[in-house]
Amino acid sequence: MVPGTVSRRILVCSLSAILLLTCFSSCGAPSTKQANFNGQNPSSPPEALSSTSDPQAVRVAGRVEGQQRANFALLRTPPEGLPTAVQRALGNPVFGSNWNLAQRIPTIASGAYWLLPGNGYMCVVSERSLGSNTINTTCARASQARQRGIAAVTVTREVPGSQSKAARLIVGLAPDGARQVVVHTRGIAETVRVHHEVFVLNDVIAAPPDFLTPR
Amino acid sequence: MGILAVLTIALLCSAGLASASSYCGGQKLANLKSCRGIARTQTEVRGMGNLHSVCVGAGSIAGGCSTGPGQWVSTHLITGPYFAEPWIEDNADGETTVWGESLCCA
Repeated sequence: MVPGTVSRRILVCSLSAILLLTCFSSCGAPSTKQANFNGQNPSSPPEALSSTSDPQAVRVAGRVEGQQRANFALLRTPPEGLPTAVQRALGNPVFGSNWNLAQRIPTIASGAYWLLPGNGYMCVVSERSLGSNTINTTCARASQARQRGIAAVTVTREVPGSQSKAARLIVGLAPDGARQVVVHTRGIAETVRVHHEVFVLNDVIAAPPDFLTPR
Repeated sequence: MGILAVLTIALLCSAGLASASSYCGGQKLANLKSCRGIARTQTEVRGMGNLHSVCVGAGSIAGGCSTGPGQWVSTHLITGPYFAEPWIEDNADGETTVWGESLCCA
């Protein structure tokens, strides 16, 4: 073998190794944390919430966790998966959510909603309507979702002098056995019926709920 | 062949990266107040309140809201990068500590 060829190969291999090492150190962390823009600190949630400090660092769930499956009938049916366009909009999975395990939430409410099982977490993805410029995701610890249910909330505030009126749409999933969900907002409790685990509330309160109580 | 591999690796490494910057990190919000970060370009904003539910958004775009404490809510701006102040808003009378994060551009 020609010595020049060998040294070129060594050079290429070395470069590849350096790039691989750089890649593993950066690709494993999908977000590049930067300095706090507004000079406030701390920039990360405290230690008690450290598992949520980087939602993209959670390992993607290979299958639906047993307790999630046991508490939500929707997760015991074959998954539809998230549409490709929605996946593209979301970018990277958070909280270990597996897009192939997504379940479309059956509802007549405007928009499209999916329950997304994750790794110790559950998320609801909402696409309000065709042509809407946002897709929202709400994620809660699976233990909280099993106790409280989980929902997507959009709030529209009234703008004085315009056509925009206050409105709120909540589309959520209650755990197995719940017949109603009480939506608590700033001292107001509204009771919503649950149909096949799904509940929908359309009202004029311009604030998200403080918490939900399935019963 | 080796150079091709190097280029492929470099491309793969750069493709999935989104830069994240925090805003309003650790701010205590009380009495339904909101907090705004310095304007920046973003394709996603997300946030969490440790004691109350929160809503997030950017500029005039109102995003999603959480339904309880400790939940993360993300809003993806599907029309593309948007230059505005990201914001996070407390929902209740009492105090809550919030964390916001703005992401751009995967």
